[in-house]
Amino acid sequence: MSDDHGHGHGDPNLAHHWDTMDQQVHAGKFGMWLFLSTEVLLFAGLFCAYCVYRGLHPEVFAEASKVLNWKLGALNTVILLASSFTMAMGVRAAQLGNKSQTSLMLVLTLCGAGGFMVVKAIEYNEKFEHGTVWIGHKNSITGDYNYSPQDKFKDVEYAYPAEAAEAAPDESEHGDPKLAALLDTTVTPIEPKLGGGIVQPGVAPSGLASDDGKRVTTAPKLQNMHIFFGIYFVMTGTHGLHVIIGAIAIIWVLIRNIRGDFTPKYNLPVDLVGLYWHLVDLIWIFLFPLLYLINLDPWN
Amino acid sequence: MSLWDALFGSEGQLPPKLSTTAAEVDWLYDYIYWWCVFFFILIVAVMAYFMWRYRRRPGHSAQPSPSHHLGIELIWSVIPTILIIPIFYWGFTGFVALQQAPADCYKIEVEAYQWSWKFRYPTGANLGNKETPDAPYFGLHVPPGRNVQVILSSDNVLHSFYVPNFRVKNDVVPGRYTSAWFNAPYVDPDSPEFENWPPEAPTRLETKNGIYKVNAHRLFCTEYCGTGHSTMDSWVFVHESEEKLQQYLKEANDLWGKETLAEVGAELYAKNCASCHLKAGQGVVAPIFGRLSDNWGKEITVIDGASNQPVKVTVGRDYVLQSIQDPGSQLALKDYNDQGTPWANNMQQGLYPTLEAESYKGTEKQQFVGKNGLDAIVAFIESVNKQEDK
Amino acid sequence: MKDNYLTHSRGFLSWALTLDHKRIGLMYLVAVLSSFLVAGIMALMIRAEHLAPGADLVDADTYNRLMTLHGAIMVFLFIIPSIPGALGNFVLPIMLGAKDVAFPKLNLCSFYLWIVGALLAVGSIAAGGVDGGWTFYTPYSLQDGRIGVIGMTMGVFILGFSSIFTGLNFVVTIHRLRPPGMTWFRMPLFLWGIYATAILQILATPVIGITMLLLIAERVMGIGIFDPALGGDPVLFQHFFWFYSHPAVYIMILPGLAIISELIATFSHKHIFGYSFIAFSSVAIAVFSFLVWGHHMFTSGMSPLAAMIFSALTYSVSIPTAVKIFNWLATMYKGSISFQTPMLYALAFIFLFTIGGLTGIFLGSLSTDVHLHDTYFVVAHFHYVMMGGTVIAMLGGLHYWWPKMTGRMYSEFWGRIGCLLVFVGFNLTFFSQFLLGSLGMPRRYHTYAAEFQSIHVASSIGSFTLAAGLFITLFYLVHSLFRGAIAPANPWGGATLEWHCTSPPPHDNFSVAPTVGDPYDYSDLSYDPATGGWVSKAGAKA
Repeated sequence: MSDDHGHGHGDPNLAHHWDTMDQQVHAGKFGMWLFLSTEVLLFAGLFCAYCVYRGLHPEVFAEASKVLNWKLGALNTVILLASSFTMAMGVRAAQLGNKSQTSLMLVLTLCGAGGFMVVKAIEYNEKFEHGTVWIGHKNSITGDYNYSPQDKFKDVEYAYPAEAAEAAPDESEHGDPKLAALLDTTVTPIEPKLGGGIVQPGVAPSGLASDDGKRVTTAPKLQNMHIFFGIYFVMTGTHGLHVIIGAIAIIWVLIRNIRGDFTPKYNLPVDLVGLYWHLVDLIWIFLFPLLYLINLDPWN
Repeated sequence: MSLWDALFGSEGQLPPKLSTTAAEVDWLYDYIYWWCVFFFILIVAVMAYFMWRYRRRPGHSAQPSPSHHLGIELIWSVIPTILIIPIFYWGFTGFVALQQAPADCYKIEVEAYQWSWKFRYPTGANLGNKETPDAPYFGLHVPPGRNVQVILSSDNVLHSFYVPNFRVKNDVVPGRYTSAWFNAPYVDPDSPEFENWPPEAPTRLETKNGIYKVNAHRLFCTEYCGTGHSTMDSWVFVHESEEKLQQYLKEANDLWGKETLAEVGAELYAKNCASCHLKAGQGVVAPIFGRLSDNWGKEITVIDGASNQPVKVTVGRDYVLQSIQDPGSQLALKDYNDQGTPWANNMQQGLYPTLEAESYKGTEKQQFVGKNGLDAIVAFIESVNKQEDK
Repeated sequence: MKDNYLTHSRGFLSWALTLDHKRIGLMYLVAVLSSFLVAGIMALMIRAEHLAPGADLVDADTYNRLMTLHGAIMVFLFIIPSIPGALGNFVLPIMLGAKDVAFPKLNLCSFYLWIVGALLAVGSIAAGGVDGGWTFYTPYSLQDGRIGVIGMTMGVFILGFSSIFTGLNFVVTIHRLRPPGMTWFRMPLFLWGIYATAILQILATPVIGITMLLLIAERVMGIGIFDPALGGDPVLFQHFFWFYSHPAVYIMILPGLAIISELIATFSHKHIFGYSFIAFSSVAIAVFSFLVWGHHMFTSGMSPLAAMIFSALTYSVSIPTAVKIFNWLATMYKGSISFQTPMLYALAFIFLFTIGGLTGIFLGSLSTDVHLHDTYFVVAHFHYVMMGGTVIAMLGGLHYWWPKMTGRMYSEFWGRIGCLLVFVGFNLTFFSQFLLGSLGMPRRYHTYAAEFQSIHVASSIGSFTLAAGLFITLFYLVHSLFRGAIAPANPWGGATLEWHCTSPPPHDNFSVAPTVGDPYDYSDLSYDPATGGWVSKAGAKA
């Protein structure tokens, strides 16, 4: 026998420890707002990591951001904003007791969620193909290097300067001119920034072991690119997970609505799921410009 | 040091003050300690008194008394605040003194590995942290009464450099250089005012050339770093004089006894590297470093291991050092004759990780060759073709 | 005993699917005490190993895993959920005169999240174990071969949600379920403490959640945020980690401080002194706790300016805490003090927490911290505040509310023996560790230098004494369930609302709604030898 609480007073939706429905509804909303504040803090950690690394490597972020497809990102923004609108309409319909309108609006919101995930999948797929997922040096679990040197540059010839060293990468192999531009080998080497970041072997602090004054030179935009993509994937991935969770919550509320659980007096679950959905949307509003729009050249 | 001594503050609770900054730290420690003793006794005595005086017994009940009193509550909030301020201030000034090394320091590079230390001296000597038959010279040797700065770097994880007797500590963070400084006086171990902590610390080091009197101070790693975290301790040896220190270091370096760095490098290369990295001809399993001097100073294109993109590097000391220490980081896929090499084929077939395990990076060779040996090998490589072409 | 929440329904499902906060509190109690037992046995193994300097009982890898798991289990499975989950869940609604918490289903969900998180965390032992200390500093925690790190960090992530939902529940309960007449300043101080804790749980815990996610992403994907070999910053991990973990230690101590306020007032039979200051100090501690995380990192390469700011803010947290101790002593002044077991624990708390708090001053001061950081001094300090503080307070609260929860009285004689052994054993174990630390012994050491041995032996002997005291306590408490005297409604003479219902309470907590009064007004109560409890002089009883 389960030990459940008696609902011996009035409204079947009124839990036994509340005196009035009003009390219960306000408590529920309060609780939801508190939960949303925890979600904000969760993402705040990620934004903090973003700020730290963008502050340390602004050029990396600027260049790597070009690889992202801002048009698809903008499409996602529009989709989510629209779905927030339909969600708000759904809450309103529930408050008016209009069951079919509520269901319609919830379904449209779900379509928005689905559309968002489809666009996301397209974007991610593009990245997997170009290898920008595993752009870190070494996979700590499997111990493998996440790249094979020759796969990417099969048709590229590299040689010592005595022979021709100016071979350009084969753009058609990748199909992504933006990525190819990043592989431009005729970039002029620039002194990398010292301090905080990759240790420079052979570079000793001044006054100690002698060195011949030459430094390893690498084009800065190609170093640490994986940090941008790592942060991009964790942020959009976590956000995508929240979209999925929100979609599941909307489905649950939809089922309950079809079942006839909601009345103008009791529609709290729709309200609460709506709040959650708006937060999910709001987080994307911050993610989109910070990741996609930081070095936008709209004519490219 | 006994329990009785320990009741009286830093003299009994802390190791002997054996650096110039230790006295300042200990003074603040004592200041805090005695205030803590005062308040602790006050609180416990009042509590004990009330426990006795107001114990529940027949004929005695709780007496009315105010349940709040703004004046008292403010006083016992404000007084501790006022007492705290100088503690904070002196702590800060002491900290700045500990962190900011003076300008004229004797600098020693200290590298932390899992699980040992390496000490590189300005003279080129390179010592480990424990005495072994192969390495009879060990430890961090410093001159007496002189500002010494240690430049700390780590192989791959966090460590921390801690010398309790000096009250000095600083984390060793991979990916950057941190430092600590101290100035340690020398006290003659045979004199009556010498206090040895720990009791079994060595006071003399015997080498084949003589005996060195030292003050020894424990050096601990104090940031968890894995299995050997508790066994990577060492000693800081304060020598009798700067001359004695230099004499010891010269002895330590003399193991090679060669004329030029390049000759040292040649011998090291022959013993440790040549079996795979031939000096000339076609490298079968490994690139040939011996002919890099052909392109010394020129710019070449290699593939950067981290970002997987082609980058330009200048062939020189840095490139060679990085290639030895991290073979995957800069891969030149063709040799200087623009021919595909068998070892490059091996890499394409994915044999790379196995080969890395056999390389300098993967084996014990680091312990034998050391950073100083790498300098010698680089000098040797640079000199090869110049010798042979002449 | 009359029909009460224990007898209200029977069967496994009636407990597994219960929405009754009292049953959930009991389940939490069993769960956290089990974790305490497991981690405590690990501690005993550590202390046994340290009887001699070398590697005697276990090898280095095993020791490092023991040390890590002891910390991780104690922090995440035991201390953080202990008082809120076990005692808070049980007592809070009754103290409010309410029938349950705001969200009973969420409460049950919290409990099951604890179970899942605990299984993941403990399961990491099977996956090869974790080492690295409970702090999981990078890059060590990113190194190959230790896949248990992922299990442990996922466990911590889930446990974080358990904590968040509990906090959320309590905040809404206190805001919305206070009865008419119970304004904020007529609430018992236990609720102020739980409230401040709950705010911390809600705001701070998500940060450890995201830190664990980032750690996992770094291990699996190599994103390069914490690993210097990939361009990341290991000190950034420390900042992320301690941004939660410092408020976490206040999550641990605030409920304990709150319990002591109740115990001192009740057993001195006198109105708590300085109610407003104590209430405000709980909130002040919660707010300031977010500002001081850097004091765990003074030697990790911070700039002196940042270190200075953190040091100054750290001292600001110490003042509200000290004020509470003075207020408790003033409460005892002119009171009528009885020395039953809960009060003995409260007095032990004052003794032990004073030492713990005062030794924090050494660590907050920058130059002395350089010497003492990462030594046994820090270990002694946090054991004094976490164990001498929170655990002693929890034991006091457990003995205080035991009759209410179980309807049984335990043996007062054995209660005092247990408390004495715990007190003596604890002091011997950990006071010696202050000396070890100030003499320079680093922490997390498997083997140690020979000069430290005599102190280690003293500490280990203390730990066995402490363990004996704890086992005796466990034994007589369990024994009381079967053979203890039937408990009256108000065995101690408390004036808060939970003493107005029967022991154990009925399913709905009160058969008659209690009238709200001053929670520290004892003038109406007198002892009735016939029932062994206290009754209202007016004769009316709930």
